[in-house]
Amino acid sequence: MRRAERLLWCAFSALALLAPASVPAVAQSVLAAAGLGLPIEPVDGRGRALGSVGIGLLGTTVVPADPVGAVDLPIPTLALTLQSSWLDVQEGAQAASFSGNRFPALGVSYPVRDWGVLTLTYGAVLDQRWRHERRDTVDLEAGEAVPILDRFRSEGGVSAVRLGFAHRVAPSLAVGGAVGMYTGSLSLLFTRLFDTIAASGDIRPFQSSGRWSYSGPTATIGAVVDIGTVVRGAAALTWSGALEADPSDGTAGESRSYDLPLELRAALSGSLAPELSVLVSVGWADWSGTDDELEMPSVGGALKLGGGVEWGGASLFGRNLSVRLGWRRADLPFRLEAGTEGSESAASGGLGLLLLARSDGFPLALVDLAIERGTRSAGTVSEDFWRSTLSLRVAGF
Amino acid sequence: MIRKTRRLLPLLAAVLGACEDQLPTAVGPALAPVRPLTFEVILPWSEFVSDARVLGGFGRPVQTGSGLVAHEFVGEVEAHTLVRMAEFPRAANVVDSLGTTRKDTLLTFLDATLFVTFDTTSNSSTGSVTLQLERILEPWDARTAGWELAVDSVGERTPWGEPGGGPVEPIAGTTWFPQTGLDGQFFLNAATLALLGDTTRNDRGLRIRLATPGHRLDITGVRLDLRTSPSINQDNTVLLSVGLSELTYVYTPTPPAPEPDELRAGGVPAWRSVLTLGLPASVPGNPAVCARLSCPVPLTAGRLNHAGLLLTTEPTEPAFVPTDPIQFEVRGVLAPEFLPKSPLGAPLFLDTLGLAVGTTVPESAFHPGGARVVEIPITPIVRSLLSGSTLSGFRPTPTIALMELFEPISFTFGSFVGPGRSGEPRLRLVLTVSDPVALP
Repeated sequence: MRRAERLLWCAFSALALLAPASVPAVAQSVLAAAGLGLPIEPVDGRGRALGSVGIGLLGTTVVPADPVGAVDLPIPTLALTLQSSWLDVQEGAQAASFSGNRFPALGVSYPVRDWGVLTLTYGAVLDQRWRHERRDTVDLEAGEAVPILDRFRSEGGVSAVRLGFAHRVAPSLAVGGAVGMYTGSLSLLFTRLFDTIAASGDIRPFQSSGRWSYSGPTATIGAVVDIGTVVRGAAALTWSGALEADPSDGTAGESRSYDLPLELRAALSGSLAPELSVLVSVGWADWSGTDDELEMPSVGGALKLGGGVEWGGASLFGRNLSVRLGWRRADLPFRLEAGTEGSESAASGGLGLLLLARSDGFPLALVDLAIERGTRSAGTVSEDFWRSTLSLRVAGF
Repeated sequence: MIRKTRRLLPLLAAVLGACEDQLPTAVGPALAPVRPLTFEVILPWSEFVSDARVLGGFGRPVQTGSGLVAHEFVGEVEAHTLVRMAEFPRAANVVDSLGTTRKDTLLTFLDATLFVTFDTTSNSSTGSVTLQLERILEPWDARTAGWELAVDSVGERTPWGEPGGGPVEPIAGTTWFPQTGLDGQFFLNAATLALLGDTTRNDRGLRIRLATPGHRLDITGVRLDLRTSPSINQDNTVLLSVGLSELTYVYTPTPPAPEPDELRAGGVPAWRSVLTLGLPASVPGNPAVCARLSCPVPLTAGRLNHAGLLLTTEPTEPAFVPTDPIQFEVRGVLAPEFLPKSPLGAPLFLDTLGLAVGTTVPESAFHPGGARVVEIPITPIVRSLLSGSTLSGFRPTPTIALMELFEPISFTFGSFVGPGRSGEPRLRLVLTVSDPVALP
């Protein structure tokens, strides 16, 4: 009971910390303006460094995308991931730089006797935070051309809260599943500002706004096959019901329903040497179900793949240190302009430091850091980004 | 372990708080799923005003804190400034023969000089002018005195013995040279000072009169410097300054009431043009707007960016033509049924210091040949009328008053073309329409 109270306290503390940020907290791309936004992989620092699509890592994880990763966690565990981005956007001849932070993933696991491990996760799904600005002039009847600034601001996104359970059915086979709800909201605000000095008078801004809340069911099932401790194969299938967007009071328009895709992910990990392992992973989803509701059709099938290598033989201040390298590439499912397709690719590197371990070597506290250097492009927009992902995992409280 | 976790969470929050969040901003091709259109509508008088009238009598010259002298200005205007000095000092600190400063209560006023400060920018004369200083011989009330009446309060109306502040007793004369920018100076002897210093006399006062015909001068200040002989160390004299107790002016003729086709604002007492707005429910759109929406376009508060009264200036009565730029403003008339004594709403526009801001119109706009169209913004009032509520949540008033900012401030006023004539007032509206923001 005391342990359960501690676990709940930690979960609520972490959620309270996230509350003002409301996953996804900050956009990382102008391309979030396309379709339903920019898909977010709720992957931890280790997965980011290894180019993972979210599943199949050797060892244990508590991440929203992997319903089986926590199956071998014998004690309550909390995992929190923080992410920062630095973005250089190039649009034709115009360039600008931005930076921001987010919490892409939070997870708590709790072993239930010897039945398996219960997980509660909260993770980002679609990022819809972006802004558009355009300067122009408005010709008024008096002959004056009044400079204006049109500003469109999109805030919010889709995230998912999931309750999962993983169970090892055999020494070489584990299965898991998670059910959850999509949540989040979207606020849109258009503002036209007038240059009152040029207009020689008081011209108030024009504003039009709306807010929608998201809801909808989702479920994930997955399985892991281990061949000794040398090879691990994993697969996961995520089903989504209709994503409902309901307008709040005062917002014009009706509810809208988007058919989110069935997403398949698979990964293979293997040990090449006692301290050296590799990972390859791939994911695929068909977004064409959203086309009925979108003004700009999606690209349809979107593939993502990645891989990396991890060496765990180093040490820092007497503590075990893992060094990782990886690469990943993903198709962007939504178009910014007709006839164009976007993609994202990034090379990554990272470190994992074991802060505290149990006497049998089980990690009680560890921190993973990943640094990515990548590019995105779609139509006339291209972006170069640096992204850091910091994960903290603590167990045994 | 739980203690460690408790320490860690605030640390993480602090780390995140230190980072700057910025929304990635696209500046290229339009990504915004709205198509805004801004257009302008000019409504003629008949489409936005249901009633109009010009009211006068707001304020008195004493409230301006300034004086005015004129003699046969544009052939007809006479104006005299009436002054009542403050009580003379009863004591002064004086240095005695031993070099010690002592308080002396036995002062003897030898003579004095009255300094009169003129507004050199509004002065109608470029050459020298002659002024007369005279002692008023009848009781008078600075708050209500006019050209004909020395006292004009409820229950008491006392005419001057001679219109314009008379009869008077001459004291001194002086010649003022505008080019010097110096104050005009009058010499007062001890006998006159004795009369002026007697605070028990309700006829105590001075009249400043312009003797040179054809001109007008604004007086911005009056000061009396008393040359005083102390009882201590009588070889010395001490200069003691006395300020004003009351300053006002009387003038004739009063401006004629405006014609029905004239709007007027300003003057002392001030004029206000009171309009009752009757806004249409919809307005015509231009071809681009009508291609997007059904026309006429419903007029809503959310669409309104700007509303301004377009007024055409016209030459003011020559005697009252402004000599300085005038600032005008529009305020809501909160209780039109009590006009002319209705309270007014707060200023519509404030500057960064919280002071009311008006629309400045150059004085040349009210001179012959200077007519022009000026715009007085009234956006907050029109927006309130369209939304049915003020920012404070009250029901908005459709009645507005066009008036001078800081009323009353000058006996000059501005005239505008009224309804029924070419150049009649119009209402300029700047509106924006757009598609509602919508989901992708």
